Amino acid sequence: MLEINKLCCNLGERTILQDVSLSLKPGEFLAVLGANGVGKSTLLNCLLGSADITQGTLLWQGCPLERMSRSERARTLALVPQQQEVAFSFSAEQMVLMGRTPHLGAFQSPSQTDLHHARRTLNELGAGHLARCQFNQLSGGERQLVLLARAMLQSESVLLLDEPTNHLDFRNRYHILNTVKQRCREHGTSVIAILHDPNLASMYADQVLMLAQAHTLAYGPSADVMTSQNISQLYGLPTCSHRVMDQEIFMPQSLPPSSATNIAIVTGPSGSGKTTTLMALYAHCQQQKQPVRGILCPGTMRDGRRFSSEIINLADGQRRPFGQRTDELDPITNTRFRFDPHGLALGQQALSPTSHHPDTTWIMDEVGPMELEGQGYGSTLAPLLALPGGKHIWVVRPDLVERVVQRWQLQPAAVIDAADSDALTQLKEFVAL
Amino acid sequence: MTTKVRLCTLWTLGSLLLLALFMGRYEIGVQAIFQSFARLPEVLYCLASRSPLPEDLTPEQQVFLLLRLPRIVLALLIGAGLALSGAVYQGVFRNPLVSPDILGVTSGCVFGAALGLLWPQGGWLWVQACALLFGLAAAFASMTIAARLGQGSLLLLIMTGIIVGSMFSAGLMILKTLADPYGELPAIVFWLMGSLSAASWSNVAQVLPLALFGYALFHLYRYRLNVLCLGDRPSQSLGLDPVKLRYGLIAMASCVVAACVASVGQIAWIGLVIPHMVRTFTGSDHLSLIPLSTLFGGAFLLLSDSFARSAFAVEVPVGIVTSLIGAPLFAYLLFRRQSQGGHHA
Repeated sequence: MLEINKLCCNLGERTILQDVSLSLKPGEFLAVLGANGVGKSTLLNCLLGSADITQGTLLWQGCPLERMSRSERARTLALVPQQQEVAFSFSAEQMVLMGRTPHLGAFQSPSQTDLHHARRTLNELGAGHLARCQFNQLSGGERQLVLLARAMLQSESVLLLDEPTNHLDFRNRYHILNTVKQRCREHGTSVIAILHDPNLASMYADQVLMLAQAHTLAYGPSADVMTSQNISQLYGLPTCSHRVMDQEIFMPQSLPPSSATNIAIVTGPSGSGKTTTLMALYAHCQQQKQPVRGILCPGTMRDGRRFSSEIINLADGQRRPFGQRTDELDPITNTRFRFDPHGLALGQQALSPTSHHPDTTWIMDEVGPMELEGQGYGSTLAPLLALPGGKHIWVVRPDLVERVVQRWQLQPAAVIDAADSDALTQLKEFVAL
Repeated sequence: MTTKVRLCTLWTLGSLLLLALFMGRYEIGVQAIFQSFARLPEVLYCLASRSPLPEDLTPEQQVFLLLRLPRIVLALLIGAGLALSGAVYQGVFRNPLVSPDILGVTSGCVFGAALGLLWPQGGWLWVQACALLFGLAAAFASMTIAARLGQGSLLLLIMTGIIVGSMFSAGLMILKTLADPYGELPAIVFWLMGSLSAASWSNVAQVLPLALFGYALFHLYRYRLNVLCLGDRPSQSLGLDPVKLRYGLIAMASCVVAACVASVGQIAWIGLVIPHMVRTFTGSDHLSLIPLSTLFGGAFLLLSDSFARSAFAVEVPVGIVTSLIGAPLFAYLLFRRQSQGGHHA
């Protein structure tokens, strides 16, 4: 039985591990989960003796690991390292044979019997045909098999796997872990594996240790520890779980959106009545008690061009001054408009997706060059599109329609020219759908 | 090592040795050589006990026993020593492009020798002692600085080697500018080129113990060298102490290199190329790489030296010959390997 009691490890000033405890019975599989750089590898290094422990004890069958000699320790704990290029090319069977090193005297070389054992271990893993191949020329999956065979030849007691599924394809990932699991059952080997995929951990591990910022976030039987709540906290990523074939599958809550189809684009040249049409639509919706949110920016025209504009929060009808034409080109926004900070804040508030009703129509007037560059209200658009069940109407200048469609991966249900006589009818139909 | 490789090696070495025995400016017949060999123990005993040589030696026997034979033995020893330590260095540094001067050993030796040559009333022995001393000092300095800086990482060791090496190179430049351009400077330059022309039994006696001890040690540790090639973390998980083992092996290899360079000067190529060549034939397994590099290193220097002393009217410094033979041979091996579609070792 392997026991770790209150292990602490500091590297200089930095605390890498703090009060980590665990115990592992023969044949148990422990998965270590955690974000990058939280000390998972350090935990293995402490066991291997290549990192100095500050406090705590490491026990194997009740005997402190520090009191064991290097080769004794190596006969107990075998590491399957992360994939490595070897500077000189050895054959696969030579690589496996090196697992016998701690069983040899300092001046001894492996015997024919050792070679025989090495070949048999390779055969057991179904990799006997690789024996004569050069290790550096093997594929990622084959290399991992060879390194696993080496560790198995080295020790039957404890296997330490450092991210064993890195670089492996879909099939090899399961093949390697199946092999390890089988080894646990047949030989009573204990396994500590650093894994990056919580799903693999819940499939294979009996126990799970979650490390977050040096301390233990959760430790215990896999079934108790593997919850979407723990995983969300562990990786700082909102996670949900689904049950598939008696197996809890974890996935992030937000996945990149597929193309949005629930959107209509209102377009037309300056002064063609885009905002006016939408104001009419807004009035219609309020009449019909259909929920509408978002912003509209009606402008005043002077000398045939937009002179100033107002912003309306459609949620409550609140109005504020928004933009004012000036003669200078604003270097930040690259327009001749000066924006009112109160107006901007109102828009930000209007476009934040709080208390969203599934039938809500979101109107965005308008998606312009600034939004395309991620300024203005650009950052609020993707979260709005991701809302379940909403409808969207965006105002876009004709020359920008193509870029907007590409930027937000849209498949618009309709592109409506505001100058069309039936523009309002089309919009009403879209909202009513 | 297969029997085929073994036979091939022995055959090559044997024929080379035979060839070398007969080659030379002074023609010595088969019978004379046999007679000379009969006198060898007697002569060696006299040399060891510092008593006068037997007076009934023929000139042929004298040339053979006091000039040609020690030179052959020394060539074998130096070549073997350089190639052996090259193989060890390459294994320890996990890099086939490493040569024994990476820790500044050679620079230290050369500086020491130049210092010895400039020292008033310094004899030949004095030069060699200086070279050995400074070579070891250079290796020791590189390793100590690296050990002080970090946990013996390879990269650090290479960098401290560069630092120490360039310090000694700068020192050598200073000595060269101080040297008398008509007497001392040419002596330094010739010493830099390396030559076996001054070979004697006392030279052999200086190199032999270190080379033998070094070989014995490396032979015993050659399987651990394989494991060390995997890198620090894997070799540690296999029960080795990589840092200690590395320092031990490098220290011993540096001693061997220093002894070789101190007795005959700088001889290029052998330490870098012979292990590399052997690797292209037999793979990287140190179980066979260590003994084969040793044998082929000796054979290669013997061949080069025999060529250097008898090919032209004037003796060519052997360092030039090793490069001239070694470089094209190496290129040929690389080409052959490439055309076989083999993986570069």
